[in-house]
Amino acid sequence: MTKPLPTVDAMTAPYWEAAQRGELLVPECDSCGHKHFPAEAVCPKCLSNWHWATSPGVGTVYSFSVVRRPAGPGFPDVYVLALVELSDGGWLMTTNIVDIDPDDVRVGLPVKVDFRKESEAISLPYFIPA
Amino acid sequence: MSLRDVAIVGVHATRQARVIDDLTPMQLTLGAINAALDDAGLTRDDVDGAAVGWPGPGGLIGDSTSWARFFGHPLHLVSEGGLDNSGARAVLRAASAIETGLCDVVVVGGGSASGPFVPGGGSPNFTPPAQAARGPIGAGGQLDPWGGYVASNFALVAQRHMHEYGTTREQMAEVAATIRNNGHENPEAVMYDRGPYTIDDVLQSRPVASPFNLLDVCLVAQGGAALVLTSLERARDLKQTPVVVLGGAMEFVRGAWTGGSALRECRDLGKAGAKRTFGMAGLKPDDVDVMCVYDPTSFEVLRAFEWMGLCGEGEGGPFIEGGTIARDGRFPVNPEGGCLSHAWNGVQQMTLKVVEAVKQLRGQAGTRQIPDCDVAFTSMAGSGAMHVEMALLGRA
Ligand SMILES: [Zn+2]
Repeated sequence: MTKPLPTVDAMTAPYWEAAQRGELLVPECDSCGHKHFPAEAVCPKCLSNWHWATSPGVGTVYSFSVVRRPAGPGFPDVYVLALVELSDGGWLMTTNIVDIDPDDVRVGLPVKVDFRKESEAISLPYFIPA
Repeated sequence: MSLRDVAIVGVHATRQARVIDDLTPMQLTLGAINAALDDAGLTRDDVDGAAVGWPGPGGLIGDSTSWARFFGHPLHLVSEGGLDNSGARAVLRAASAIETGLCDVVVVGGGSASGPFVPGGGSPNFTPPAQAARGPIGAGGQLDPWGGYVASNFALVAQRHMHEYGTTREQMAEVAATIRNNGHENPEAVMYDRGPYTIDDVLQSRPVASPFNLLDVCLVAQGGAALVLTSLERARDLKQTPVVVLGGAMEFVRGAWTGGSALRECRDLGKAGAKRTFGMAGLKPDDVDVMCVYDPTSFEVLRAFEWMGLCGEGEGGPFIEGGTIARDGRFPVNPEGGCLSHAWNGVQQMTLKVVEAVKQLRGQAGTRQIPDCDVAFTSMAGSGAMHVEMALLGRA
């Protein structure tokens, strides 16, 4: 059994299409430039419309939790749930840090996005040490 | 117009247990309502407001409007469910409605059980896999694959707090051990007689989601609770010593589970509310005699001391060290065992906080009675620290 994969909907379809190309997108406000995650109907800062911008996908670990009681079937026995603070504007993204001993993850660790193909339609933006 | 013209006149906590499979949710909920009314010396004929989750079957599950037919007369206040029916939030909503004259007697509460009819499948979802399976609302699935759930989301706040302020595992473990030891001595607690616990026991317990071990996070159980509120004027003729709402506030910074929980979003959550609450009461945080605060994890209790203003930002850890929150300490926390040991039962654990605060203020807390208890602070919170509601209670 695999872990739950995202349901692609009208709002997030471009995000998941870009992910298959290895490109990280982020909602960027048309008016104030604020970036947010996950995508919401309007900019949470000023209520304006937003567009998808490309993120370089680099940043640092803002916080993390080494999870040893997995969220459900299909999750690894141990994984690192993390909030990454992206360098392009300091927006926070929920992800997993991989390719590192979980016990070595620290707040402030430099990381970069690394897409992993999970199904025909879905590649997920994991983060690895930069 | 003042909240303190409204009193909590009846309280009841049902049996709490890992699983309650000999009662339907309706039986459990009715038991809570009837016992709280009995405690007050009132009957269902007196009630004209209900903020009680409708358990079904039939009706709209959760929507308290469904109770309207069962009181024999129209209701003047209802609630659509969830946290509006529990704890400090429900108390403040009911008190506001009574004070403004919208209604006269409100019942608050509900319960979870897995007897014969269980709409939606029963057990609450503090821990996986139920919480993970539910998924975030409106996030287009961008949060789904990462394995966040309630405990691991709260963990993200705690871990960042440790990084920024040097908060230690030992400080969190003291919170967990203290509250769990309270539950160990409370026959009504799910974890009654399962201790006692030392700080080291908490540190050595099985890792769940760092920095939390098993004993740092609350247990999942079932059970119910109910409160009855009316005007202070009417309360003076009822059975119990009236407990009034001295002040209160609600504060929200983000919708439930719409993102990983970040300390930078919730750092100030509760500060304005606490100012408002104590200002309304004409009291200081230092005047509090007992704290019945939300303890889904050991860490959230440390944060409560910070947003209440009892210590500076980031100083919650050192502040509680050395017995501050023990029953004989300066600020006793959750003398009945809290969510960590008494029960976390879905949403009504928030109401259990109010029940305990009222019992302490009435002097009915038995062997766990805090001496000279005049002011009780009760709070609820959640969603990985994205909202907090609080009520300050005292005798009339
Ligand atoms: Zn904007």
